Amino acid sequence: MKYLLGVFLVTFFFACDNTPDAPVKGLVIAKKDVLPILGNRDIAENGDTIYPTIPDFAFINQNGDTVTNADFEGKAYVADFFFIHCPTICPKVTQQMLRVNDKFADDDNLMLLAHTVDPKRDDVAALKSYADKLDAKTPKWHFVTGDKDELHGIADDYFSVAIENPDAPGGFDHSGRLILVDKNRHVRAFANGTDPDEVTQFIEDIKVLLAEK
Amino acid sequence: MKKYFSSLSLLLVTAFLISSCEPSIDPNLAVQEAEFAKVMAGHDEVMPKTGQISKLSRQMKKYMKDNPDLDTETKGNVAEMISNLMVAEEMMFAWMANIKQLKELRITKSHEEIMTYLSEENKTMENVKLATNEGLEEGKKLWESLQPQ
Repeated sequence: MKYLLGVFLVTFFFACDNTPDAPVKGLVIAKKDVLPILGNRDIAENGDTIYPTIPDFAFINQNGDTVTNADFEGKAYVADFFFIHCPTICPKVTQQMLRVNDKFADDDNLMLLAHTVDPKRDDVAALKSYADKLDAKTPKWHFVTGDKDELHGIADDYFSVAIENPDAPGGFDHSGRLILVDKNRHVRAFANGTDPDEVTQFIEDIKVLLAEK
Repeated sequence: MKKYFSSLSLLLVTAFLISSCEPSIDPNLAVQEAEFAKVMAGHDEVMPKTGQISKLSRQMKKYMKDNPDLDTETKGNVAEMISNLMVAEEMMFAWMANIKQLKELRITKSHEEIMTYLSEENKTMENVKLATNEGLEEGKKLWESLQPQ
């Protein structure tokens, strides 16, 4: 009878377990020694290789402070593009940004930069509220707004490097991407931010980048 | 015999409790989900084009800035096209900001109200699609005509 009661309790417990599926087991993580610099490169007249770089920018973060490239000097950062009212992929991507944030919370050499593509609605106050809900704090994680054309323009710059198909139209519709930028403003890796397994690999890539001398 | 019946009763109770864990399925939910999926399919089709709309309008703004000596007619055509493109882009962002998720709708609305809402959203999305497609088609034509022959 005691045995039956045990079976009853165990069966009942598992039958009502509605926890989400765990990440796929057996995911193969590629170990890399060094990350390549991504994008089409040019050769200068003197023979030097010119790698694509992220251009200068100046946006306003969730505290109302101006954020420029200077704030990322000597650091690597993960960039993404989102908007608060995004009805589809952005919440999933933000969850993965949270994973990155948590993983490197104590490492000052990595920052996060989330750009809104809907600055009309995502003003400083909206970004502040959004960041607070995620417990995202500066200077680690900036949520930035600004001029729409500049935000969309820099999205083109990031995504022109971080797409697999060079013929695909660029732009903020690739907003599911997380993009890893090094201290020299070169894109070194990217991941589909809606895919937790890709982001697991991306986190390993960040470790490789941060270990570079 | 008594022991046999008590074990059987326990198993029956277990089976009942397990089946009670399964959520009861309201057939209206599937209908709502199908309608919502239709609306979101429109979104998925238009969103990549919104990126192209933005790019085209930025190209045209730069063109105007780089060519201050354009004739009045061309200037007017380009300015009007930029305005149309920006309207189409804003229609999409405004739609996304306003669309309510099913989970939210189900709290306050009846099935009929939800279906009416989704039907209206489908119509709105059709208008966004039309503005986006027309804007892109006309915008590309104009952009090509501005390029040196």
